[in-house]
Amino acid sequence: MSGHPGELLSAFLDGELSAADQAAVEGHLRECAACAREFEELAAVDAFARGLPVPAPAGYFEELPGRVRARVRRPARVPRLAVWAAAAAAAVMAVTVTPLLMQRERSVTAPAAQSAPYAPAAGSAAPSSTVPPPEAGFADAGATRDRVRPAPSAKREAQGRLLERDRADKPAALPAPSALPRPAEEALGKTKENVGGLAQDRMTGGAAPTKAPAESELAAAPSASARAVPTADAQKERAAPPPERKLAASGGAFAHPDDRALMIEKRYQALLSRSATSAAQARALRDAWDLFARDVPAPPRADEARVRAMEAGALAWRLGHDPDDLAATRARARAYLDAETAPQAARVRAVLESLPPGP
Amino acid sequence: MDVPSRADAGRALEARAAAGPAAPDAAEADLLARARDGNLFAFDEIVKRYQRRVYATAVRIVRRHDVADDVVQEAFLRAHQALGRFDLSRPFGPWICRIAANLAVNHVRSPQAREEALPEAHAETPVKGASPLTRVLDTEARAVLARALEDLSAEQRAVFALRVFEDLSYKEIAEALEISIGTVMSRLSRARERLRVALTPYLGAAMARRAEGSER
Repeated sequence: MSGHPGELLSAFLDGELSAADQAAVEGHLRECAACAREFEELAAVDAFARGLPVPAPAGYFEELPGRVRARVRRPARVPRLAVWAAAAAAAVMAVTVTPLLMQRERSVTAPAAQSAPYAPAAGSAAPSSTVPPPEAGFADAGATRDRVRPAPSAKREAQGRLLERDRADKPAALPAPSALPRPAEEALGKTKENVGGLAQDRMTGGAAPTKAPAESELAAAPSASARAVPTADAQKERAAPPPERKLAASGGAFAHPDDRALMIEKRYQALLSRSATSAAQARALRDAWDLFARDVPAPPRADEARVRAMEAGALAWRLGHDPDDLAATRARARAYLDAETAPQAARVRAVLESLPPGP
Repeated sequence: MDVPSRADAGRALEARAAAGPAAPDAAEADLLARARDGNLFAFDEIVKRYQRRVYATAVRIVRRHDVADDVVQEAFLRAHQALGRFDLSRPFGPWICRIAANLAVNHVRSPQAREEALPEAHAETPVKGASPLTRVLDTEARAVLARALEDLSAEQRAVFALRVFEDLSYKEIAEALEISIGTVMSRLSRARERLRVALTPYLGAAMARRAEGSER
């Protein structure tokens, strides 16, 4: 080597030079103290950088998996019709309390972002023609926000019907489901334009991304209807069972028992984050908590659900002044306090005291 | 500061060459297979396993927590969507980190990113162990290094992060960032040189301490 290796030192450190260059640099370093020192310093920079901490906000890694889950949870490999049918049929079955199916009806009572059930393993019952190709999700980052909303044709019609019914007795605009954590949605909105245009095929070693028709429809579907779906209360679902329920019954069970536990937890969290700004919404929330308490009979979740149902009932009365809400809530609170075990007696007493005195 | 000798670097290279590409363990392959079949619980486990590593890759490039958070989520989403094409015999970590690095660089290149506020102040984490003087010097050196990293371009940071923290080859980095191997080489060289110059006062002291230690 005629001169100092200069830029080659970095590649030498990484063992990325050709054999000839590698030998030449090595020979030079034996002769040149300045370059040898520089090389040691470069190696030291690497070592020192590896010791730099990577600070993240407290609790960040505890909640990140849940946020990823909320965005991933969509019927990527499940026929959308089957997903919809599973959700609706499970709501019907809620009445007869079949534990496995109980898990699925959650999508009726939980906000949209949480609503798509876990994708069952392959072998689901619906026609394969409705399965989007794996590349579908690659269309763009923006589409990920809409992926949670199964939409094409039949389902969208069903959504439309539900929306109309919802509008009929819920004049006020429904609040957007808050179950999808704020940062995931807002932050995505902020950067999706930037990250969306990547050449994903290279990153993931696949073919050029293709936008599946189903996904395109999703992106175009009005978000209002998608939001309205989960707020349709369970009673309506029970009154109008969709014809596709056989599909759901024969669709694969959840792939892992832990999925069910996870879903119960997610459903619980979704309900916790749900708010009501009208009497109708408060009633729907009350009914959703009731359903949850029936599905998950074990304390403490069930007890919390019962108390929350009472609180939602009291809220329904305050918002609508419907005597039925008042009477029902009062009766439930008294029954709770009269029971042998009333773990949250103080809270229920507070509910009772928030209502006007009565019979 | 622990300064490796040339012999250390040589041994590391040999070890890397001997080990070959890191093989994923069977449990991970099983998790990935289940996740690929639609089991979100399995994918959840994958996220938990790799979230810190992916976040580290992202934040080292974008230098802002909120942006890194976006990048991490998006990287996992894309990995999830592409699992069907992923070769389960290969390690998942480098793959998802490459996705994250690509997303991160593309974000930083975007016009919107240029309008965003300056990076958040880097937390100065006190160095544990060693003598008080060493701790002060090392803490100071860390702050200097953090600032020097911020002064690099995002492209340089990406190359540096993938090489130094993820141990990717130049070829792998070139593929991940869609640049030539020559560009990888020159960017990495310039990045290291700038960091070396910034850290020189501390590197000298650290190497002197090391030399003293070895003489005793």
